[in-house]
Amino acid sequence: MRWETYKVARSLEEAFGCLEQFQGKARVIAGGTDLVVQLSERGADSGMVLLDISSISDMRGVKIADGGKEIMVGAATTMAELAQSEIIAKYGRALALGASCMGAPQIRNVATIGGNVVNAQPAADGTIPLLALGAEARVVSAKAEKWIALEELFLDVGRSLVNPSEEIITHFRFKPSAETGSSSLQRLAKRKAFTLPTLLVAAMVRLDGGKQFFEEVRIAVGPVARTPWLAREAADGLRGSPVSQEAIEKAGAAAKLAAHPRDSLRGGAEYRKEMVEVLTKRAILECVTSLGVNV
Amino acid sequence: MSMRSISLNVNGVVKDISVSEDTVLLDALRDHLGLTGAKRGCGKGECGACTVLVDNLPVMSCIYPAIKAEGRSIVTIEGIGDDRTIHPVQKQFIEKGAVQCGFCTPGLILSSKALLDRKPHPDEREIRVAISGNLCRCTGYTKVVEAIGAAASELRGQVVSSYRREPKTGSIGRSITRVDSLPKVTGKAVFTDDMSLPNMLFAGVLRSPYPSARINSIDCSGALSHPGVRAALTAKDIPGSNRFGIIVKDQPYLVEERVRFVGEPLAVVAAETRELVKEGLNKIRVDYTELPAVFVPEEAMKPNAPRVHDTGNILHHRKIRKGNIEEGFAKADIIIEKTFTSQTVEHAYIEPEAALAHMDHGQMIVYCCSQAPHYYRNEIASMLAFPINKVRIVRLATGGGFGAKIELTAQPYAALCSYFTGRPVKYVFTREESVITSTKRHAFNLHYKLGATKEGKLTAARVTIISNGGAYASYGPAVLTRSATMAIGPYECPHVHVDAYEVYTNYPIGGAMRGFGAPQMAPCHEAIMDEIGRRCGLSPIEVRRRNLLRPGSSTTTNQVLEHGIGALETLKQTSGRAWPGSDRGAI
Amino acid sequence: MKKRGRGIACTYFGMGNTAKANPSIAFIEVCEDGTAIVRCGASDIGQGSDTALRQIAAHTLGITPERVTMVSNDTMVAPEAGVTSASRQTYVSGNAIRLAAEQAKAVLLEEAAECLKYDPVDLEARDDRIFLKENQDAYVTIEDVCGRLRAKGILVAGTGTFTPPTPEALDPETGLGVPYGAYSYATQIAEVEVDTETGEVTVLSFTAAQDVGRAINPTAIEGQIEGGVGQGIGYALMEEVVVENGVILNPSFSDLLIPTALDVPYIHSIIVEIPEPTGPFGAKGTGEPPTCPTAAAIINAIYDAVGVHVTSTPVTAEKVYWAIKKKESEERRP
Repeated sequence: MRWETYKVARSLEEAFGCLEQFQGKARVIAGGTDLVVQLSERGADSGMVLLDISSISDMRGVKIADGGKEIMVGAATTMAELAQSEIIAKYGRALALGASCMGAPQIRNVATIGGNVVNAQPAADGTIPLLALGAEARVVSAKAEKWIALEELFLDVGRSLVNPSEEIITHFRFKPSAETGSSSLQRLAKRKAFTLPTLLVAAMVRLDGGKQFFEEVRIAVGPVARTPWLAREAADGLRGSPVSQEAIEKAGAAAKLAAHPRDSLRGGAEYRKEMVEVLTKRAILECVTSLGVNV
Repeated sequence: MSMRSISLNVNGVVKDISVSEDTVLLDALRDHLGLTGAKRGCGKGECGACTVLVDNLPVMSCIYPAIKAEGRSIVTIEGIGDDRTIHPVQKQFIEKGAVQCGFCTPGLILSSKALLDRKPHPDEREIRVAISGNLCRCTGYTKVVEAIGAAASELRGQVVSSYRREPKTGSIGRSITRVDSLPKVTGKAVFTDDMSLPNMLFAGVLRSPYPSARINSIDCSGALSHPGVRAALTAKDIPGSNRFGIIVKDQPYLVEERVRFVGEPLAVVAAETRELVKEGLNKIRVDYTELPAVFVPEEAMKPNAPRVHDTGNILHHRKIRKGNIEEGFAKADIIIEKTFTSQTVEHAYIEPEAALAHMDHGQMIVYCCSQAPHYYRNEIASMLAFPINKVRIVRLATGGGFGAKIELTAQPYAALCSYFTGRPVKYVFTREESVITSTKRHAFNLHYKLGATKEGKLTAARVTIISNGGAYASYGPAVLTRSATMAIGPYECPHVHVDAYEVYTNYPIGGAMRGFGAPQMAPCHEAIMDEIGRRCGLSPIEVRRRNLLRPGSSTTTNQVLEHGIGALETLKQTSGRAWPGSDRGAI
Repeated sequence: MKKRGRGIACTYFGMGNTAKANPSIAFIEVCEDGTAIVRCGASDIGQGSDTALRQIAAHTLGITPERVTMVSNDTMVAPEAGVTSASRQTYVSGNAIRLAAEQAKAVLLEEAAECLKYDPVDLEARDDRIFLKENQDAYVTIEDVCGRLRAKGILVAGTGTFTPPTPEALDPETGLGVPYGAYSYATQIAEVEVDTETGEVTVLSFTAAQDVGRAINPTAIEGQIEGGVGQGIGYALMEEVVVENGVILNPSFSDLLIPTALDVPYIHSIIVEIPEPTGPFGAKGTGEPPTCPTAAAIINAIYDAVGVHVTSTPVTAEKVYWAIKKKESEERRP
């Protein structure tokens, strides 16, 4: 038995009503592309109730909000919708790239960005770009709501601060890339489609007005730890540096030094470590080139 | 588990069905609505064979909760078109020859249709992205992409030509439409899991988690007393022979005493539902003593290695001794040695193994996928102690085989359970079960030493092949012998020594797989040929041209070839097309 | 940096089981309206044998293939035709069917000879007619002929059996002998691009020539070539069953990788026809040969691109990467 009961909520009120009613036996499901497989494999706890929130219209869609100061993404937006969104393509490019190469078309049509994040895998195709974009998640329970920065959200492989029996991520928000900003995603996998990544690196950079210096840099990498990981030293090192090949190479080397991947079926630890450097350099270089800067 | 009535809008018709809360859309379609066009290739959303459209978007129906689909519009292959109202995508799949085994075809067609609905003018990359979630093991995708492109043209109102240069009369050389293509593109082709019989049971097998063990006892009492379980059988219940094998009958259907590989069958259970089969299997108690195991053939060849079989671990040693090897190397100006290791490979047909067995008027009938129905018939007759004419195998549409569906897989267990219960019994493997139990392409450890003159002509070849045969013989000796004959590739060489060893280990069984040794060896000998060419100042084309077999050549086994030798012609035509600078005239 | 390379490989493959009898038997029944039913247990597993064998039967009998029904899947109805493997069905079952059809045709020709007042040797059967070789306008339809035979109480049927002419085992000491009656030859050329920083290999284009003797159904043969190459690309670059202590670690498709449509380029297949005298109409098998040289061609192409030999398959990006690194460090040494 995969689960005992399947309920569909059409509003957040309905959703929280259901979660409260089932006292911890219910858990949220969106697209289910991860969850259904997991439950089929391990079998359900007796009495498990799945609460499908994918039809809550408030939680779908991408908007420019707060007078253009933030991009608001509904957590039940599918990866396919993100991949096709003009807003994301323009203001959150790394996320568009991640959404478009995750899984396969059939998976992307159903999987949601919220589900991707809550599944809490260290190399999730939605999470890594969001992390690089400096995104926050709006975590709502029956009693409270708060915005949590993505880098604080993850506890361990498969575990986040979100309790799926009581809380729902309803939205993500991040600052749109500025005139002098860009983001990129580099993905390495053992096959050209439909494969979990050997390594993912997302970078977000913002240059100064003259496009000469790095003003803001974020580099997210996975899987190199039990949770999605920020290459802080590499990013710190770039901040304030002039845009140059040496600066980019230094950042790559710093990211490699700090990353500690392990061996798995998808790649050896040493190889992945080398690739952290390669993909970090490529991600930053792509950001810079897309802004018309030559190094 | 409570049942729930849901309404599904499928192919424009709203149907009410009663499903359990955790039913997935694939099972709702197949089991409750009789729409068997969508297939279960893996059950985890990893192959695309289950693709259907929900609100015009392709989804993996095997991981899509049926209740989630309420209120949405679902389109399956049956809703795309049938033989009277065929859709251009279906038509072009037939015309372009994009349908082979047909198991992935419905999913591919639905993904394609969804693409063309959105994008009437897709380029090749867009087409490939759209079908990147539909694994196909038969076609290599070339004709599928052509078919989708042609369908796009047709949908845009263009006339699609199917010109091929063909003979004006007679049938030979004509690309006539395959008779099985239409049922496959309309989802009507019947694969074994698409079929059901009244009063049917399901079967499942308990498999060893250890690679090498002694079975002290198997206690099925817990399973037998579990509600819904109708049979729980072990080796002692087999009426006839408990040994099978396509070359050497060294493999038991159900282990008596010795386990030799992980996944080896110990007991089989038949029950009213698939769930109850699983529960019944969990109730069987096995007392094992783990024994030392050996996985590496070189280790298994050592005198003190654990014995996988009492007959010794070297199942077969094939030798080729042509000419005088010392003389051959003495004549060589260039000698190159190379070692090479190949990997264990899975056939990965998209249709998992399946069988449906039932007794009819004293005859055991087994519907199944198969590459070898008469072989199955003979073995199952022997297992049941039936005369051969009392066993009938009916091969239904078979979703790929590539060598592994020569072996008996689900069929004997379904037959055994049907024999005992008197009821039809269906046994369909999960993807994991298929991978764990099916035979594999042998992993080879190779050592090559080739000698050539400075004109690039081969004078001597010494080849050692160590083949990891796994726990049982299967096709091993045949793969080995064939490999020895093909060991140096399609070249003439006067002095050849080959030593090929087929070795038993506690590893997954090596069996027949497309290529039978050639895929493993070619990377090694072809790399050496290029190297010989480099050292002689010859292009890869020229070094091969000088050595390829031709009329009058003698092969590695000293067979003189007279006719039908297309080697040079294939070299000429490929290089003429794809190797700029190669001199066509020289060949 | 991306570097391109080109590689070529040749292989050959014997038709039928090695050095042993592997017979097929076929029955043909010609109905009174000139249509035919072929019964031969050659398993069609998607490669198209039912269709190709129908064509052989049709061509031999002289009727159009649409008027031939093939029954292969039921052991109660269709006799033994060996295993669908060893690329043997076109060659072995094809011959068995051709022989059965010749037997049936002999009866038809006798009757037609009577109608047309000539000898059977002067006649030819094609496209549902039997006509005078010298004057195609002098003909009688096969349907007519069958009707006449029926009226006379003669039923038309034939049986054929064939095994490759290699029934003797190879010498156990020397391995010498005649393992196969016929061989099929393949040459393939791969063009690849290697990303020198990650080791990733992309197959940009692929050309595969297959010597098939005679192409019974060209589209079906291309399908076998393309499918074989597709599997070969997977074998070269990504496929592997990972086993540790006898346990398969990757039993599901998430980590047991086979090529998707984005992993395989457009495959150019070239059919080469050099008649095989022992094959039906000169044909021989195509099932296995196309998958044999593929990985070798790719590995040679990688060497051409980046000068490294990886000595194990699959040639993953990781292996290529380390091979490049090793080569670079060897080149730096004085």
